[in-house]
Amino acid sequence: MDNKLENALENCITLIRNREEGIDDCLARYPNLRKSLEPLLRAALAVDEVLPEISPSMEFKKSFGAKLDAMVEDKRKKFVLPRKASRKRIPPCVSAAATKCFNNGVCNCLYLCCLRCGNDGCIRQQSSRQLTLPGKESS
Amino acid sequence: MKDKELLKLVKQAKNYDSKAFGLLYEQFVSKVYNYIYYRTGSFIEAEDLTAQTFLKAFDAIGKFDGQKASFPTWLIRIANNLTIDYFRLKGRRPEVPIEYACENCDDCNLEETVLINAMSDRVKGLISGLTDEQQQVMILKFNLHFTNNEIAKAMGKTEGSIKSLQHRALSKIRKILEEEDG
Repeated sequence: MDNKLENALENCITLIRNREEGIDDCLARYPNLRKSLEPLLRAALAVDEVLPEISPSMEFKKSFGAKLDAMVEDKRKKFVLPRKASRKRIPPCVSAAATKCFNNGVCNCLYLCCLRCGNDGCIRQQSSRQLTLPGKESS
Repeated sequence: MKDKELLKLVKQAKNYDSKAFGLLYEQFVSKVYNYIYYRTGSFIEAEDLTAQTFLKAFDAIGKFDGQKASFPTWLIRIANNLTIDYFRLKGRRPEVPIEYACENCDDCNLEETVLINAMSDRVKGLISGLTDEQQQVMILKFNLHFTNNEIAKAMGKTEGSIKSLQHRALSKIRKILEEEDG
């Protein structure tokens, strides 16, 4: 089917479906294509008539809808709520303590590094400061 | 529903928001059901496969990428894959053996039931002679009102091949109509 005919068919189907135009009005828009457009358009409208929209039974819609709803809720409880809950369970004071502990851990690591790599002047200075006891400062 | 609202709902559903997923279900259950019903011709299979489609969608919603496809297109693709599996298991080619709507069930709309029953033979006559892919295009186009671009994405084809499938399908139907007219 060439593009002109295809586009004319699409346009006519839309216009007739939206009740903006009747079949003859639409065919009048395309006098050059009328001969090939008319039988295709009549065939399209015949198919449109034999495929009406039907509704699933209310019983099915309700019962399966409820089942689906329960499944979604179940999955939400399993995957979404625990993540949120675990985030909420840590109080701010515990979080602050954990940060302090982590920082101390970093200091301790630096201190151990200083003991091992004593050749680095910068680190030695830091390590000596940490080793000096109050009242017994080195000269 | 606007695209922006839809994407917002999908984003919420990805976080297992049951209200958002419920709204998506409400919005698209009929489209999925219609597509499967016209493919299988069975109300029972339509309910079963619609349920499976939403269960799969729920499991895979984290992988949904709004840049690649729209949400309804993505859903129909899942429904289509399940329908193909269904036909494979049944060991037969889809041939739209349209089932008549029940006339005694309490929750059926009487007007709709009469309309479906009247149309059933007509559907058989017009659609069953088409190939599987041509049927898919006709259902997506005339029942779900998808654009050619959306149909192409749902079927994993180019827009050009959708146009060609549509042309061949409509030409076949035109011949049937001409034979009917004598």
